[in-house]
Formats: sequence, structure tokens, C-alpha cells
Amino acid sequence: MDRLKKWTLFLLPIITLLVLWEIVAQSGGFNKSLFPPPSEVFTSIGEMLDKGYLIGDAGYSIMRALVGFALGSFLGIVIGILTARSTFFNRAFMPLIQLLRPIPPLAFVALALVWFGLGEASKIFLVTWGVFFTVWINAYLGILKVDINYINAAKCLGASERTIVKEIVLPGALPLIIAGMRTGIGFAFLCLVAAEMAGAYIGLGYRVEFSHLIFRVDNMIVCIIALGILGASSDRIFAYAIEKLFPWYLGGR
Amino acid sequence: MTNQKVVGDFPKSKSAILQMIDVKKSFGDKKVLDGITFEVEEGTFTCICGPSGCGKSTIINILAGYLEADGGQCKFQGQPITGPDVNRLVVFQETGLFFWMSLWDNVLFGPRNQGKDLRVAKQKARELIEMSGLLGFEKKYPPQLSGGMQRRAELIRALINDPKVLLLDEPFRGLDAMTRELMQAHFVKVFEETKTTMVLITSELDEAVYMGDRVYFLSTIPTTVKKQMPIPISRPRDFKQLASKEFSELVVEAYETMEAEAMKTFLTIKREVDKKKLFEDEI
Repeated sequence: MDRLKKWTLFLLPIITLLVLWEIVAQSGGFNKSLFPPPSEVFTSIGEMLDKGYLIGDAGYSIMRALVGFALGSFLGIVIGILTARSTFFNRAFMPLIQLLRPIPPLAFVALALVWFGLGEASKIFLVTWGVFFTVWINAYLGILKVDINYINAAKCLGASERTIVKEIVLPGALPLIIAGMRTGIGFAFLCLVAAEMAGAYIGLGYRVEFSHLIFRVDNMIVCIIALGILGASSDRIFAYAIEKLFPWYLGGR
Repeated sequence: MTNQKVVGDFPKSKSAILQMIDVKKSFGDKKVLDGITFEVEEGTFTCICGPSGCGKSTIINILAGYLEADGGQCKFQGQPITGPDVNRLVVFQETGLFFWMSLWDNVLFGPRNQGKDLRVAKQKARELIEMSGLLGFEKKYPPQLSGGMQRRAELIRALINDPKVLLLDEPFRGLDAMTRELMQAHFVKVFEETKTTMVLITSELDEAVYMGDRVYFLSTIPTTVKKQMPIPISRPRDFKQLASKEFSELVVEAYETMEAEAMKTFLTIKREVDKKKLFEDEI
């Protein structure tokens, strides 16, 4: 009964939205090729799959997002540790990072295409760029904010600086790092779609732009929905992985 | 202001394991410690009592080697204290347990990092965990433990390293009254069984009298040692002694000593509040 209620509450708003959409689109007040009803959008999924579009587009988009996200997170955490724990790196890196951070990543779209071409490098560069800063600032602040008692306790229990970073500072800062990475997922998709729309041969963002050119609003909507599903599921997968990897993160239980 | 450096029958024993001689410490313009002098005899339980905000934790931080004093001497076994050391371990306010490690990993953190024989350490960990009534909780993470369990776990994490001195920085703060009493009894038992020198920072006078062999009373900021008081109640101690006449007389004496200081703090706060009020009224 409880399960049924949960599923009903999950599905009801979605179904209501689809029904309302269908009714409004079928009412005759709108041009159907500009505002296609969900039934037509669904049929166009089949058509796109037949042409071999959707799967390849999604695959490339996922790969680019994943590689960029991993690179950006890795760099963000590493440079976060360096800037937070070493005065030298702090002095050396901080002004540069603070200068580059406020620039919206989308401002680099055109530049990335000129530099790295229409292939994978430009997409991955932009995603990495977008993810890096949000992960970096969270890692940096998280590490600075690790309770001094933990570090002191570890010091008098005989831990070396290496151990302190690995076993005290990083896990202590993890709640903020994870928050940064989760925000980073959003940035990854933002930069990815912008880059794919500006210039690519394949990818969901490219398909949105391409559908625009050939005036297929139904195909555009399919790609947009696919992006929504991708974003939501990557967030869920991330949350699940965190729970499995760091059982203490949510206080266990 | 007359600066009383030494009060009462200051023990000049050879067995002093920790000494503070005329220690001064300021934070910015704020003078916190204004010549603290006391010593801790090996194998005893020393309590340091003071009104809130008088720099009690600063004293612990200096003894632990986390902070450097501005002036005066600070010695451990006759040698100046230069930094953190496994022989002087702190049990922190609230909790210092690493929340990302299980109880078991927390306890073994010290032995592992000092390169000790882990087989011996694990055996010892098991014994200590059993003695503290935490059997079956080894795999739990600190947030999954109750406040009292966390304090016991932290005590184990320190004890497993055989420290010469345990520095207890208000370890019972934030516990409910019942748990607090149980933890006091537990710490007293551990002290009596292990004979580890302990220094307890507290603002609770009956706690100090119940647990300590000697109590030092601190003044309000800038802080000096106002008085010291030996506690001649026999050991092992238990709750029944809390009801004895001897105990209550000592607590009354302690209260009389501290009341004036506590009153000063209270009046300062009141004065500041009044001043603020006056200021607001003017607006």
C-alpha cells in the first residue's frame, strides 16, 4: 500500500503534465509543428532511433560529460589540497584562479572551438573548465574548515603530513567536496550542451541544434527530455555511489 | 594589580610530570593568561576549574603543544614542551573522534601511525573496548554512537597509546546529567586502574572535587591561579562518597572560592549588556 502510494505520488504529476500538454496541443489553437503534443514526440523517438540518432548522441554526450567531470573534479581536488595546505601554492595559484573563476565558462565556447576544433577535445575542455572551479572552491574551503581538533589529534597520535592529508583532511573535507562535485554535475551538462550546440558532429546538444535547423521541434523536445533524464540519473547515481563508498557520509544508520 | 604567582603550599615535589611556571598568553590585544603557575604530580588526577571564558582550553592547548606560550615556562618531565607528543594526549570537548572512521579504526589510528605491533595493539583495543562496555560497536561510525559512547571511545583511542598524561578538555560537556555522572564514574575508574596522570579542565566544581586529587581554581580573565585545594577523599572513589559530609564541605569551600570570580564574569557581562541597552536607548 505504501509502495503504491509512493509510485502514485511519483507518477501522478508527470502524467498530469503530459495529459495537459496533449490537450492543449491538440486543442487546435497552436501550430502542431511548433508545439507538438507528447504523442507525436513519442512517435518521433522511434523515428530517431531508426535513423540511428539518439543512442549515438547520448553515448557521446555521456562520454564527454564523464571524462570532463572526472578531469575537472580531479584537478579541483588536487589544486584544492595544494592551495589550502601549502603557502607556496596558495601564493602562486590563488591570484590566477581568482582571476579566471568569475569568467562564465560559456564565454570560452568559441575560443575552445577555435583552439581545439570540432572534435572531442573542445567539449572535454569546456566541461573540465566548468567543473573545475566549483569543485576547487568547495575542496579549498572544505579543507580549510576541517576542525583543527582533528588535525591536532592526528598530529599527537603520530600521523605524518602525508597521512594527515590522506586520512584526516580529505575525509574531513569530503562533505563539502561532494557538495561541490554535485553542483559540478550541473555545470558539466551546461557546458557540454553549450559546446555541442556551438559546433559538433554528434551529441545531444548537437542534435537539438540540428533539429532546429531542419525545423523538427519534436526531435528537439526528445533530445531535451533525454538531457533531463541523463542529468537526473547521473545525480542519483552519484548520490548512490557516495553512499556506498562513504557509508559514514550521511551519519550511517 | 598584584600578580600572585604562587598560591598556598605549592608542591615542590620531584615527581611533577607537568609544570607551568608564570605562563602568559595573549590573543591580539586580549590578555588571556596572566602568569599561570601550577604543577601536576605523576599518577595524580588534577582538576583545573575556572569560570567560562577564562582560557581553560588555552592552558590545555599549551600543555598539549598545540599553542606556544608568550612567556614563562612549560615543562613535561622537566623538559620544555615544544610540540604535540604521543605522551600528552587530549580528549577533546564535544568529540575529536574522526567521524569518517569506524570506532575500531579510530582506536587503532595511533598504534598504526606510530608503527607499533598491530597484533598487540588489536588485542589491547579489544580489552579496552570490553572494559568500556563498547563490545559490538567496533564497526559503528561515531555519529551512530551516543554521546557517552563517543566519550568512552575517545578515551580508548588515547589510552591505547599508553600516554604519560591525559589532558581532558571538558570531556563531559554537552552530555545529559545522567550520562555525565556515569562518564565521570567511568573516567575515575579508568584513572584508578591505569594510574595514568590526568588533567581535567572543567567549570563544574562538584565534578572537580569528585574526580580530582587536587583542584586549581582560576580567576577571571586575565587569568591567574587563584587558589589550590587538595582533595583528601580516599580512592577508589564511588558515588556514595558524593553524599558524605567531607565531600560536601569541600564542594562548599570550592563554591566559596569560585563564587566571587563567577560573579565578576556575570557582572562584566551584565555591564556590557547594560551599556548596550543604554546605547540603544540613546538611539
